This record gives sequence, structure tokens and C-alpha cells, in this order.
Amino acid sequence: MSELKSRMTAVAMYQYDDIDRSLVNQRVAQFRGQVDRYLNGELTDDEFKQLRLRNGLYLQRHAHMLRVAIPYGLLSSGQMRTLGRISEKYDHGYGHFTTRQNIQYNWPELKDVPDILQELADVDMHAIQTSGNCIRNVTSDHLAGVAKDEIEDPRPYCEIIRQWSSLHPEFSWLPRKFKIAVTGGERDRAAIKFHDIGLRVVTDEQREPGFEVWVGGGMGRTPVVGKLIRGFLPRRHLLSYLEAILRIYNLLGRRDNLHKARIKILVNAVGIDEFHGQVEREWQNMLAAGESLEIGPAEVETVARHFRDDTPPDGGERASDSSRADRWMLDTRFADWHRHNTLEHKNPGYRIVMISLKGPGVAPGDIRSSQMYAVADIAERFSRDEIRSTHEQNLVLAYVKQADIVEVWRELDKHGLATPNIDTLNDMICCPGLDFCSLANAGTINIARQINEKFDRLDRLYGIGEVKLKMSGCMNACGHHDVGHIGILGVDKRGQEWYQITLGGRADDAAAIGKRLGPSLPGEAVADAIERIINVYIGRRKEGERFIDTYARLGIQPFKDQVYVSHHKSKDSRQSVVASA
Amino acid sequence: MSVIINRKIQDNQWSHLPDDDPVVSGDVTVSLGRWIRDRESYDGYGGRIGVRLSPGDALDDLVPFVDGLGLIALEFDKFTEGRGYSQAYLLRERHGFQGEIRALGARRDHVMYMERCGIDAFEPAPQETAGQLLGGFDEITERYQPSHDRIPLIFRKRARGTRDELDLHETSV
Repeated sequence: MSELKSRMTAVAMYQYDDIDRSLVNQRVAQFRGQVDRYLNGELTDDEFKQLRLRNGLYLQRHAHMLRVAIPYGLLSSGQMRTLGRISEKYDHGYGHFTTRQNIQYNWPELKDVPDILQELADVDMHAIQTSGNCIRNVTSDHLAGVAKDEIEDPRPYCEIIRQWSSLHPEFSWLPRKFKIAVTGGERDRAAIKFHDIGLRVVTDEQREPGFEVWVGGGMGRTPVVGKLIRGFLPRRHLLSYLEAILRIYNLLGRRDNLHKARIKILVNAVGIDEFHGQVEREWQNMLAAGESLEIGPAEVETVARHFRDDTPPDGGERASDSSRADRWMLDTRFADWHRHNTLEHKNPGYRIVMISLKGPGVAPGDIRSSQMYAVADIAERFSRDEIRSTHEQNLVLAYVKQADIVEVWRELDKHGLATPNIDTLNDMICCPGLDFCSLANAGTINIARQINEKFDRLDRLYGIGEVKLKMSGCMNACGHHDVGHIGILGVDKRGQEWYQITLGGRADDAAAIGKRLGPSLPGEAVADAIERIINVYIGRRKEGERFIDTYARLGIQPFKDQVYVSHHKSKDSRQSVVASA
Repeated sequence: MSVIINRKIQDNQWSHLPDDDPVVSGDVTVSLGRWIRDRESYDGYGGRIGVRLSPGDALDDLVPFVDGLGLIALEFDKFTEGRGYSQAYLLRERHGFQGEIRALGARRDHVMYMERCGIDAFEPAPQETAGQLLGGFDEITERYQPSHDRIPLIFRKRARGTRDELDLHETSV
């Protein structure tokens, strides 16, 4: 009974039991042994690489990088404090939130990594399968459980998939990495059509719960919008269907060429109909044999009960009292923040607070340890002890009472966490780029800074409205440039860092891959080009039209004309950003 | 050379014949292609015959004949090779093969996964010994999902536990 009580007061997130805890501890001990064997010369560099990757550890340009899993972006305050402590003790006092809702440390020493993993295990965290050719951290909607348009909370299914895929005996050595995303909203906020498998929670005519299943989407070298493989998969068959897809992919996915090994290449090569046929045959065989992976209501409930929302819809006594916030609206700083960084909650007593990690002069997604502690404290006091990371590299406090909103703003502001720029041009997604990553062709943080400086006035940013700007330092697309309304891709041109601009990408329900604007530009011309693109939009938009809508109406040509002023139109080629650079 | 069979170190009985070496005596494995071509010629052979599968080999050609085979050997020629796990699973679960499935080129860091998929014999890669492989089986004993090992799915195990707890609670009230 006392256990039940403590569970009710705990954060509404999955709570480890003895099995989960024992597994992560055994995994730490195993990795400690692997490090020892590597240092003793029993494992080669290449062999150890495969083992360390499956524990989140990369070898980068300057040092190791450790990527810690934040399952579907959900963290407790206590876990956030541990992340802060790790950054101080083993790193340079900061961490970097990624586009897959994880956190990365850029400077750990190899010898310290087993100790870091142990500190994570002590707070029910790990770095398992955050890298390597295996099933990666499952991502989801950062507004899960609090969005107004939600059909069902997707997080229990994310957790079920997390456990099923952890140390899977058959699928730990796939042809290539494998990413799964789940959304439960009417609007897709998890970019499910750009994942190896994308799942949307739906119900059929009999109101039976199930999933729409998308397969073979992805970004990177060959960006592809996923294809529908099953319009309705009954919920109880979730894991067997995933297993059927994975088995076909494991056996038939290409292993001879790293760049052709993702499932999207297989699906395109054999065609979705043939792929669907193979998966269905395999799945029918599994069902005929007696489905050991079936999840009925009792099985789902073992996970779903952890996420249950037991808060009163009105937030309790006086929670909806917004009189203080109303008075504070006279302060334009608060008013700007309230308008741009808070969202309506499914329950009227609350608001959702977005914490921008895109402050001026900061690499997108970076957060200092002092800020991690501050966020942990604020979440503990005001938001059910819970923090979420988003694929746009920001954080969310999902349960702030209306009556507390001013106090939360003041606390965030004190720590430089109230930059009121969510969904503006400066709220850009960006990979670490050449400054850190050994894969990158070009720097990204310097370009982000130039753009930030060009659009440094808030009234101007607000006048522009919603623009999703996404930037990657190479075609691996960690910065999701393919789906940016404006995308920027770093390319290597004879040893120089150049940038390719794309327009019209989007990761929402109207999923599309951005179109190339024209030849790539030198770094110093990028911010100018963005400004010209924005000016075309401002000049030609209709009332209430977002950038992406204006682009859809006009097509790429008007933007192209302004960025690349062609010679026959103008003798003075200095008007062109290409020539002026 | 020593091998591991059902977690015990044993002397190896099998030799793996390249396609141009004649089948003369003893227990031998041949490639799938050779076996399909020559299998009738092995009738009446004094030793046992096994078949070696490369990672890219499809199981379909072998399936009608698996019952008579002394051994199926799966080649793991690279540290990252992953197809053998699915081949083993399908041989066991779909095609009912009950004989020995042997991993060629097994490594300590893989044997735990291999065993769960239905591989029961392990020939170490040249850089490791059978004794070293033994250290890899039980590094992680917690398991979330069934494979050939038929471990109950973790959510079933928990759901059962919860039901038991509830029953207990109700009877004690």
C-alpha cells in the first residue's frame, strides 16, 4: 500500500521497477568491462567502436561525445539535476539538447564514461542504443498528454516500444540505424513521415484503438516521405507488426553500402506494395504461431498507469486565476513572452510553457549546468516535477498553473531562459556542425549567430511570424534541413565551407522535402540571402499568410530571383548575394 | 580447436569444407550452393553432413530438407553482421529445425544475443577462445522480449504479477 501511495505522488512518467533498474546496472558493468578489454588491447578500435556506439559514445573531432537517452523527451527534475551535475563533473559545464530529444555532452573522457553511465543508472537513465545500427530512442509529441487535439497519449506506446527494442536479441545489428516516432495528436508534432517507422494513434469505426503505420521515411542523403503500410493496425498487434517489419529489413536491407542501407532504400527498391506483401506474410506467420508479443489491455495498463493524469482539470483552487498575469501584460517583456512562449493547455487551469534554448549568442539547444538546476527547481515548484525536451531543441513545462505564470516567467528570466522567440525565425534547429562533429562539412553555429544578429529586433521577428529554419552541417541532416520551411545545408566546396538553401520543406501532416533554391553560397552570404527571402515573403504575403503558405502559393521562383539576381536582368552583379560575397 | 555447445566447452568434430575440397571422411559442412547441387551424391556418406549459410543466403532452398541435416552453420564474417540472428530465429521458430545451429566466428560480445535467437553452438573467431566466449552469456540477465528463448514479454510478466498481487489482496481482505 505504501508503494502505491508513493507512486501516486511521483512524477507522471514511467517509473523503473527492479527489472529495469537491474538491466541498466548490468549494462553499465558490461560496458565497464568492454572499456577495460579495449584498453588492454583485446578489442580493436573498430570492434570497440560498435560497442561504445551502442552505449551512446562517439569519437568526435576534439574528444568523445556521449549521447544520453531521454525517452520521448520526458525527464524528472531529479534527472535534470543529475544531467547538470554530470556536465559540471565530467564536461565543460553545459549540455546540448538534440533534435531527437536527447542530450549530448561534448567533452567526456573515455575513462570516466562508465562512471557517468552509473550516475545515470542511479536515476533510472541510460545511453543504451542512442547510436549504432540498432533501434534508437523512440521520439514523440512534446505536448503528449496535454495537447487539446490529442486522441490518446502516445507515451505509453513509446515506452512499450522502448522496452521491447532494448537489447533486442535479433535486431541489435541492423544494416543501419532505425528510428521510430509515435504521435497521438490530430496534428502530427512528431514528424512521423520522416522516420523509419512512424505511428499515429487512431481508432477504427468500432472505436477499437490502433495505429496508422508509416514506413521508410527519412532525411539525410536521400530524403524520402514515408509511405503508408497499414491504415489500421489493432493495438494488440503493435509489437508483432513492428517485429515483422524489422525482420524483413534485417534480412534484406543492404549492407554493402552505408549510404543505401536505411529501410527507405529497401522500400523504394522493391516498391511499397511488394514490401507490404513481405511484411504481411511474415506477420501472418507470426500470428499463426501464437502471438507471443500480443499486448492486451492488462499489458498496456502496466505501462499506461504511470502516465495517468490525476490533476484536477481546473488545476485546483484558484489555479485558473489569471488576474496577476493580466496586470503584468502591461510589461511588454512579459506580454511578448506570454504570447510567444506559452500555449493553451487541454485543461483551463493550466498553460504550457516553452523554454527557448535559442537565446542570443548561444548555440541552439545548448544549456549551462546552472540553467539545468534552475529548470529543475522551477519544474519542481510549478510543473509537477516534469520537464520535456522537444525535437526543436527547446524545453517544455507542461503543467504550469495560470496563477503561477508570472512567477515562472520571472524565475526563467533570471536565468536567461525566457527569450520570447518560440516559432520565430530565430528559434532555429541546428546540429553542432564542424565545430564539434567529425562528419560535418561546414560550421553551423557561426551561421546561426549571423542570422540571429541580422534579425535581432523582436518586433521584426514577430512581424515575420512563424518560420521553421533548420540547418545541418552535412547531408546526414541532424539539423533536419530537408524539412525546414527554410533549410540550410553545409557543403564542402573544394575545401571551403558553403551553404545550400532549400525552401518549402515541412515535417507536419503536409510532409514535404525542401526544394533547392539554387547554387550554394559562401558562409558570409547566408544571412543576407535569408533576409532577401524574408523580404520577398513580407512584400507578397496576403493577410494572415504564414511564410510556408506564401511559398506554397508563389513557388520558388520569386525567391530565387531575389537571391540570385540574374545577369541579364541586372548589369550590376553586386546586387546578387553570390557576387557580393 | 574447442567450441561451445550448450554452454559447455567441447572438442570440435566438424570441418568446414571449401567448395573445391572433396568430401572424403568425417563430419563436414558444405556451402548451401554446393549442397543444393550435390546433395544426392552424399547419400550413403559415412559421416554427418551439415550446411553452411552465408549471411545473404535465402532459407527457402534449404527449408524442405532441414530435418535431415546434422548441423546448420551460420557465418558471421564481420563483427557487425546481423542477418544470422534472423536466420537462426526463422530456422527454429518457423521451420522447426531442432538440430545444432552453430555460429562461425562468434565473439564474446555477441553470444548472448545469438543464444537467445536459437544458436546453440559457437566456434570462436580466431582472436578469441571458447573460454573467453563463455564470459559473454550472462552479462545481462534481464530480458524484456521473447525470441526463440520464449522469455515472456515483460508486460505480460508484469500484468501477471499485478493480477497475482490483486488476487492476494482480495483474498486477504
